[in-house]
Amino acid sequence: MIANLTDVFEAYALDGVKEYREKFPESFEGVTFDGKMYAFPYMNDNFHQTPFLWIRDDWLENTGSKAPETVEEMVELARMFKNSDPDGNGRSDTWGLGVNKNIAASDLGSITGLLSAYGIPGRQNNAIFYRRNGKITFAYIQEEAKAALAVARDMYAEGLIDPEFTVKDASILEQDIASGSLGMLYHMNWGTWYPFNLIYESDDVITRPYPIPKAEGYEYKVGIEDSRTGDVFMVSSSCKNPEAVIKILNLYYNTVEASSDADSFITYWSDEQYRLCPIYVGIPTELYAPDLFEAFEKGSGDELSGTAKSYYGYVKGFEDGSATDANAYGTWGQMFDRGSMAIALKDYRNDNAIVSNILSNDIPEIWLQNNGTLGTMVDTAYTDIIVGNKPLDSFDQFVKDWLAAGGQQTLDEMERLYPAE
Amino acid sequence: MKIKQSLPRNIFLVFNYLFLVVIALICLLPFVNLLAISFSAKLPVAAGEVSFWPIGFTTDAYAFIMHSGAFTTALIVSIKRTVLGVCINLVLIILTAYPLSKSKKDFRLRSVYSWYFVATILLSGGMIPMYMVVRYTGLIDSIWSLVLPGALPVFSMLVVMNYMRSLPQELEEAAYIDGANHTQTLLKVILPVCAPTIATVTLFAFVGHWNSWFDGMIYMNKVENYPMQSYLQTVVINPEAFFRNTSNASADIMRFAAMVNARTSNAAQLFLATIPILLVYPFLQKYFTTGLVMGSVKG
Amino acid sequence: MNKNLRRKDRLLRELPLHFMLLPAIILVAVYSYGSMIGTVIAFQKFIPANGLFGSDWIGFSNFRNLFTMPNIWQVLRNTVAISLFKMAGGVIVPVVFALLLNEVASRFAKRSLQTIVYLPNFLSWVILAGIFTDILSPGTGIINMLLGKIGIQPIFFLGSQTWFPITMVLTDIWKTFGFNSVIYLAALTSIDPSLYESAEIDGAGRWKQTLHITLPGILSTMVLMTVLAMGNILNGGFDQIYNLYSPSVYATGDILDTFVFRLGIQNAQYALSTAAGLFKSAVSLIFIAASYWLADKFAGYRIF
Repeated sequence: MIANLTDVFEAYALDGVKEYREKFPESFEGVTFDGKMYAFPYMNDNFHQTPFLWIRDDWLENTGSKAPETVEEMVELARMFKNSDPDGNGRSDTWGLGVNKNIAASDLGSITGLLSAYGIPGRQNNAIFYRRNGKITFAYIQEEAKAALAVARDMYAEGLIDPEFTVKDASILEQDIASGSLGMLYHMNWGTWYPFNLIYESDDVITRPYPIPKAEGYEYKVGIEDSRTGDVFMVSSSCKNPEAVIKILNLYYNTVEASSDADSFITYWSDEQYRLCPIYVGIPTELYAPDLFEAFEKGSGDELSGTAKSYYGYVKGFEDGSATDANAYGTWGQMFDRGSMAIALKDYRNDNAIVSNILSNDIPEIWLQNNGTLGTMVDTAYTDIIVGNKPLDSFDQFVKDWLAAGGQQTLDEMERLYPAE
Repeated sequence: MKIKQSLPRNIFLVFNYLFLVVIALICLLPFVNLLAISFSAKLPVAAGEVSFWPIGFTTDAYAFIMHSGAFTTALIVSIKRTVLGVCINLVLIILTAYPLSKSKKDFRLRSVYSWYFVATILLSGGMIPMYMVVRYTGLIDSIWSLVLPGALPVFSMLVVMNYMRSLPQELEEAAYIDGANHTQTLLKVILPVCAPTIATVTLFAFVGHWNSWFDGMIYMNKVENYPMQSYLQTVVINPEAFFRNTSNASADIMRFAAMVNARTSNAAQLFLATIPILLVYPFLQKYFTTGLVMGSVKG
Repeated sequence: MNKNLRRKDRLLRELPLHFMLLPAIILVAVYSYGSMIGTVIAFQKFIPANGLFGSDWIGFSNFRNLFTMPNIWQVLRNTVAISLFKMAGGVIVPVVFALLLNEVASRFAKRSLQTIVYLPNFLSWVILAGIFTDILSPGTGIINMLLGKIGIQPIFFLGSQTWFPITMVLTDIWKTFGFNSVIYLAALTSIDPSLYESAEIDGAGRWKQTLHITLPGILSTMVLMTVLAMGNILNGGFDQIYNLYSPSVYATGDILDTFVFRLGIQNAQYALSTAAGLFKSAVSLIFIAASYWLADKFAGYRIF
């Protein structure tokens, strides 16, 4: 049903494309079975998929505050945003922190960023699995989550969080952002692309990412998916000329990655025309980010080529106002010297805070069957604690229930599937 | 029914009348609120100030919808599927009810067929098996997936069948003596007399198709194929699922929507989707108050 | 009429009837009976790629797994509780409304009131959910605004575990009471007027008449409607709840159909969700059979 691409790839792929296999072996591990390659990975930047704290520049300024570095400071800032009329319109119509009803997702307004401060490498309500003290465990059942939940619970009780958050998903939060009632949220790396571009385009408001605030006495951890899992494209076995697919891949690589032509980069990558065709290869940031940051320090992008050069142009263009297309703000938020990419590379990576999911291609039976209901358990238990339906100590019961409902079985099975090295 | 018109009685009548009016208002006011919001400006709506009258009257929300294209596409799908669906329903209901309304003497296999149809009310495969059948018959993303699986609404058919049975025997006998065959009898003699019950089941078929949202959601993979209610379900209730699937062109719409304030545009869309029902059911009211009742509650 | 027909004539006479039934028979065979065949996957370790009959048969394992899923009993409890309250309200409120409406003399007023109260029944829950989410919002909704004017704190109808099931029952009654009253209004007209006349002569006031004549007169209809609704006991109202619920109210608001929907569609547990569907069909069948038997015995009512 799916074509074996090994031979075709060997015969036709450009050296530059083949290099991906050497540089990112884990990604290719995920698509290889019995030594044969059955799909091509898009090479997502997994380590970039971490939470950040996003804050509106103007609210920060209007309340005379600086970006919070500790969780306490974040709560204090939320208080100011709720009570001190940061938008200056005389009405009490602003919330301290925006929260999504899917609190354990990796999305706008989820609290994984808060949990991370207490050492919980959470990502989705069913990820991640990691080793602690030598044993495989699951992020959301750690004892430390109570401390994080206590903070959220107090914030809710104090009115800093919209009580209706339990029925608001990301799209409704986006509407709240657009209407100016939210100014601080945890979000992933693409905030300046969406949704903060809405208020940038309508009111010239800049929102920027900050490293997640830390909790004293805890080592912060952020969770990412394993590189072996990610998006791929496959070729049907009834395709008569699979080598054509490889040739298109080569063409893409030449046009976007290898060339210095800014226009091609804009057309095919920034303007997302690559989405019109499923055959493409992503551009892992580690390939060019160090060059880019060096160029920022030097103050010149002349020695850059390919992707790095284009990004340099965008960032500088945004900062001095010369780049006016919609991609400028989006790129800037991720690529400037304190953008999401820089934070992930320089802070999170260097602090050894990034924890990768152990679960990849071998999935325990019981997990396949029960992960939906187990994930719902996480959501409901955490929400119940935050809104005060249940006391903080109900967390212990939740852990027992989670383990009993197939969680323990999953962990045991995983020890078998992913033995420690 | 002559009742003594005493003072307590009169007081009761007045309060009764007032109470019923309040009840009727409770049924009506949510829509008035909806209508008011749809015609109000963004800020008063966001501040929760709008109750039963628009504040800052504006038709921006409606203009936005007319331009968006997505709403009109969904509307056309709904119209197509309702017209198609109701016609097929009626044809099948009539063709099925007539033979089944015959007595055992005239149609020996009647009970067998009746059970064949009624069994489908009692037992059903459920969501997943039905999806598989729809897929095997190649109807995914086709408008026929909204029409064929429920082509014969058995309950409505039973109502019509009962009604036909309650008609006097002489009608048919006279036609038979005149040499009419079944088709002619059905079309020229029985049907004309069945107007109330046919009107009733038509109304139900219309409402059923117009309001149906789940089948569109499950059987259509592309948003362009969604009927109105499925489209509304995603845009108003579950926007996350909807917006994550759209192409970049819709990004402009998303931005526009943020500016118009979703509450007003949602209200406008909801109200527009209600209009066909509002226009149809009052006129068929007299039929279903009699036709439905006579067809079912009968010893 | 047919005694003297020869067999051949009889057949010829019946043939068109068979043809008339043909289109419906085919469509029902394909979709309704076809999907019944699909329920076999409830007994398999179902892998979609293997088709309907290609996976291993595991007997009742799926059913056992279903009943050991976390929260299944809570879900069943929610379903039955919400259904029972809806059934109770679904008889009492229309009856009361019919009784009160019956006292209105003016035919025009009666017709107008009826037209208005029928409206909610004809609207889909998608539309109604959109409306209710808006008007029940604790921050900006009109209901809480009005409550605020009489000094009541905002109630989070759709987000509170206590209020959510209550809201579901009340909004469902609001939607259906008008239409459901049709049956009772019809039943009222079938009560023998002479009963009222003799009661009048005996000096009974309207209230006594209602108690002793009207209510007993429609009692059989009330019982009938209740009994007929029993077959729906495991339904709970998917359309309504799916469009109004959220994880924060799963504890009291998650019903069998929404639970199974998430299991089947969102978590791709096809065999489990089909098993749940079968279970529900089986229970409904028992209830419907029992209720139709009761309806026949008690009220002489048969559907065909």
